[in-house]
Amino acid sequence: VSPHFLAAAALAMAIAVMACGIGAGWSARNAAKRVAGTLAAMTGAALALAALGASEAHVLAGIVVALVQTAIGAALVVRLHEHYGGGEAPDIDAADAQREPAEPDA
Amino acid sequence: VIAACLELARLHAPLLVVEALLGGAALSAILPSARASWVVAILAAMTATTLGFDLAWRVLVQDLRPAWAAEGVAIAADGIGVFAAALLAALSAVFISAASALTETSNARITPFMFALALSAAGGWCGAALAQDFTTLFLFVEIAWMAGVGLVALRPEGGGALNGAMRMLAAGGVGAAFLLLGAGLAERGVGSTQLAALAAERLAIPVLGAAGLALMIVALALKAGAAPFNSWVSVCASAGGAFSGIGIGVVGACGAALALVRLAALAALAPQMSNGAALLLACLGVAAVVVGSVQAIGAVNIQRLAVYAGCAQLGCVLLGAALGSPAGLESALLQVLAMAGAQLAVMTGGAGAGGDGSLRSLNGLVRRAPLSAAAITAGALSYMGAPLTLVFLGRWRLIEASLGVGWWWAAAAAIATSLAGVFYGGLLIERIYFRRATVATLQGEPRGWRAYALAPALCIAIAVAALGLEPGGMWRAAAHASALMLERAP
Repeated sequence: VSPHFLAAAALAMAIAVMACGIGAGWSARNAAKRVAGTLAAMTGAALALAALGASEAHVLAGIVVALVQTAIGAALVVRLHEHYGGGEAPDIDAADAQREPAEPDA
Repeated sequence: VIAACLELARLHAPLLVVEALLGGAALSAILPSARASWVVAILAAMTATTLGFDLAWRVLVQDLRPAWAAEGVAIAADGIGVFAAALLAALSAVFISAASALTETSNARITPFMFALALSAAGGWCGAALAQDFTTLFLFVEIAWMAGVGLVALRPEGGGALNGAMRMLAAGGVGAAFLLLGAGLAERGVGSTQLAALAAERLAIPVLGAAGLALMIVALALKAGAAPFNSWVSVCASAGGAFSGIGIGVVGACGAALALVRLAALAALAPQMSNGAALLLACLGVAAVVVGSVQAIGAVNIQRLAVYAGCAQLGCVLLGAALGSPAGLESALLQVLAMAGAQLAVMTGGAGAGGDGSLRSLNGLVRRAPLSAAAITAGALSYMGAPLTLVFLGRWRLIEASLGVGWWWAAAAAIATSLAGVFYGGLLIERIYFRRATVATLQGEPRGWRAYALAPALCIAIAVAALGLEPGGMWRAAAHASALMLERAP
């Protein structure tokens, strides 16, 4: 198996991981799943960079940002559970909507 | 000795602007007293503003080309970077100066962190505008974004704030993944870690470079709150309170817009990528104009109306950037400045109106708070692109530049933005001058010294809108900034 094929396969798998993470981060109903999705997306992006042979500083920067995002996200998930008694986005939106009138969607 | 110190400071000015804001943030966070923290924050913001204005004066007005000292961080000043550093530092100083009226909490444990996060957000966007390589750009954008998430989440009594922060974190995580991968692809595609290499005549792997650039543009558009990626904006702007709303809707949106315009200017110089980048920016611009205008027309909350209207204005900025010509970039820079003024006017004026934040709380505002009413009127006129406002000049330049290259649809989009602005800006003016206040609208109105704390921000916002009366200096600065970007040799 040629090294080019392996590199291309690694890149494709990393981008697939990133795409799955983006899907979950953008559209998941549960807050914890959203945080996990963004972590997966960042992991996929960092793996893709490694497969592309990007500089170590760039890959490291991605990993650091992913960890910080996850830490902040975990703290927010805990606070959401304390405040709303759950982390489901529709329930949270409904609780917020009771306080403020909704606006028409574009 | 003082002269030597000043000269040394000028040599390192780009880095010092960022350091003043981030260093001030660190100091603000560790102080236990809210008032001491505010003093440190405002001093840091004023220092950064002074450094930024001096930098802009030397580069954009006096046309000096200083040789910047080599720093440990890849930061230096180019045309748009200088313009952005001065604007963002000044914005942070203005909105922190009004903090006592904008923050609703008297909790001394939380307030210092709010100032620290506001400064971090401004410092992050300044760093992004001055970044010289892809990694530095990515890191500064993410510093600014995380600070914004923290700023929204910190509102003590707001469950809605937590919801907004979570939406912002999730959307920002997606944007961060796009930006990280895009920067990596662009780095590989252009064969260099330097952003300036995007403007090279020939790229190592053009397809990778173009794909990376597209991902970076989408990521920055998401972080600027451009439609169709602005689902996170409305909750963040309204639920986080006035202080974080201005932090996100004014400093954050302008910072991301300026980073985007700078990227577009570099791409415009690359023959192998300029057409694709222009097409993507133009599509995003038209989408932002249409969606932002429709959302603003349906808005019932002042902060939300402001961010939706900002989205429509951002669309015009993106159209100017898409043109990639000196006139297009000039119009983009003027419109970013005008957008900052209009957003600041409406959001700060809305905070001055008090009430529950709905449009109803503006009823009869001219009799209760004339300065807030004047600021919101100036903002509303800016949304309309009324003659004698700075927006009018920016939009006029955009229409001229668009028609010059046959982009009649871009000119139509700019005119549509103004027509929609007449509708929702007119709604604001009608409530302020032609309706009577009810008892319910008078609740929560800032009184005493809190009301006076808003005065500097309101006056500056009105002054920015009125720059259209005498636009010569600002016009020349914007023209010089765009000319400097487009003359860069790869």
